[in-house]
Amino acid sequence: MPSPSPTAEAARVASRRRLLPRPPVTVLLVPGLAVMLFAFCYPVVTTLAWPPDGDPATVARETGSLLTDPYLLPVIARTVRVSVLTTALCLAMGFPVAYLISRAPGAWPGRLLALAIFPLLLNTVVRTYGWIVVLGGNGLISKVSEALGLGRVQLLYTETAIVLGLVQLFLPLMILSTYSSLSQQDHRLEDAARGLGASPGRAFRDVVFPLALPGVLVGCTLVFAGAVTAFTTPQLLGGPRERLLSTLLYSRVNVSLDWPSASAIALVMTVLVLVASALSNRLGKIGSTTS
Amino acid sequence: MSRPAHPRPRPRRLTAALAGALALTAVTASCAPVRGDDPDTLVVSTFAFATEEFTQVVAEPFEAETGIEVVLDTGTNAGRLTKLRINAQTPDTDVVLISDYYAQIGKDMGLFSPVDREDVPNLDAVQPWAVDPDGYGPAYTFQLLGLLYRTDLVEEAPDSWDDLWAKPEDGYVLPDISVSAGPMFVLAAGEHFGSGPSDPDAGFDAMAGIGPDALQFYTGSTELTSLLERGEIAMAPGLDNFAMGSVEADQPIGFAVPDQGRVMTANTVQVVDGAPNPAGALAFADFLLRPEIQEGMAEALYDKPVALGADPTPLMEQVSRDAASDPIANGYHQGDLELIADERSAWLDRFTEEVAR
Repeated sequence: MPSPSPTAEAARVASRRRLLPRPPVTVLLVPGLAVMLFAFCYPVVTTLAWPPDGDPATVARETGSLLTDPYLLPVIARTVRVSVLTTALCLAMGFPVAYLISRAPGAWPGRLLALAIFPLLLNTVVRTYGWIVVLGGNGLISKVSEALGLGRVQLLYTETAIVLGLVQLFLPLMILSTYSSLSQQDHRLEDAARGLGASPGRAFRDVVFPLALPGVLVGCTLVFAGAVTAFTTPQLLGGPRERLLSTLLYSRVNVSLDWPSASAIALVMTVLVLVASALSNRLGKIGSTTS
Repeated sequence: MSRPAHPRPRPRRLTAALAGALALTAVTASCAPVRGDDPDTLVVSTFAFATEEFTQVVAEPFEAETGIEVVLDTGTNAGRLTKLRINAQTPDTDVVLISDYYAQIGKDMGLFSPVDREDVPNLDAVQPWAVDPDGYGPAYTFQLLGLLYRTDLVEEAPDSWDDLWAKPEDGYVLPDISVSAGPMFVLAAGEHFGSGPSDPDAGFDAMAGIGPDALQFYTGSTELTSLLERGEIAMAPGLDNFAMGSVEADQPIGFAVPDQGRVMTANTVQVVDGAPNPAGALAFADFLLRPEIQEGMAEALYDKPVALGADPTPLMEQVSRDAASDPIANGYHQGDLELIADERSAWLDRFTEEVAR
């Protein structure tokens, strides 16, 4: 029996391939979704709604009292204030850095980016203890202030200390996120705007920033979520006097073993992060339709 | 006979099924089985610090003597208690080393078993206060609340809680209510300024007077010693154990026993109710009370002994003086543990609202 020619064989294989059912792409999502469901969604929902010694009704009651307690409302307000400030400062400092890195020539972007994210390689506790040494009453800032005749200053255990610590913690995230958008921009668009008579400020406002908005929004969401849920830095730099929701949650679990109340606090934190995420999505849509 | 529309799915399904089975096998194989009766292993839930030293002076000698493999599960008092509470129906832990007031909470939750003196013969040779009045696991060490201070920043060594209430010029911190020293400090202030150690109202009123001027409310022993060693503060209420390392390292730090309001806390060893290895748990509790093991823990972990045949180290006697060997004779007491356990939520709120302002 004569063997089929190579061309005929190739055509037959190609024809068979066309006949075979192609696995839907969604199948690729299954492993990741399974991990999300069993290792994230299930434990989170269980912890939020069915804590030890509690049920959804108890958690709802605790959430209600949390939102009306005159001593706890300032804690929520402080958490939002610290997180918003941290996000704004990270954006104000991170965007110019990311812009300069994205415009650097040759191999410099890689080197500068490595330098910018280097702090991420250090343990949070180590980084935070650095601030304790700098901000304490016997710290560097206080000694400089004393040498200048301004007296000792105690910045440690204040809201300012928490914000400083969180900004240092999350600045690399903001730089990375904004850099990812800025590096994909065609730099000639900015040059074209300038060539058409736009001032540097206007070129930035109307061209660079709108095009970088997706990365900026991702960065803002990540930093805000991180600041709301951060524990080590607020605990070490703020302490019990400057309580945030995360440190309050720790107290509920570790002191009073009041799990329903801890679940209520976690629920409020989750809602804050989801609201920020929704707001970010909304701004992203508005940005994409107006640009 | 009609042919199936797609001739090749079967091998693919087979491959997928095999892969799934393989993954399931891998996951199942990596899961530890639920412990039933398990006389060869002892899961010990203990504190997260100095675990290497604990292994050397306690776990390894116990393993060598009994042939039972010791597995350590470490964490905070509250974290470990939460884990026990969640696994109460099928406990996987045998024995728990835990602070006295968390032990009280555990007892109230029904997580621990009473111990029979016959199963723990060394109970006959410990300081009487270390034996639990309700028959649960005994205390195996204790810490004294007093005043830690910078010897070079105070003119005279403090000898009363009044020295703290005089608000030292070089600053002071107070314990947060979340650390062991926090509730003890409430009791001590109540005893010193009120009608006695069961007068928390007087304690909170007094603490409200010095809370606003405190530099901070510390949440860990290392935080306190770090503040003292850096000279950020001159004085703080704290446990004598916190001072041991600094004094040993010749730091200018001392520990003062107050003239009144002497409260101590103890670490206890508890047998878990329904433990997979109850005999091993009881043997471990007894082992922990042996004089030679107690002295080993004193050297390695700064744990002051409760066994009558064990002596505190010279460092302990230097820091805590006579109270290191006999706290009760020196006026120390544990306070009302049931009061602390019952009022823990209310005290947290009161501390936040009245003291940590």
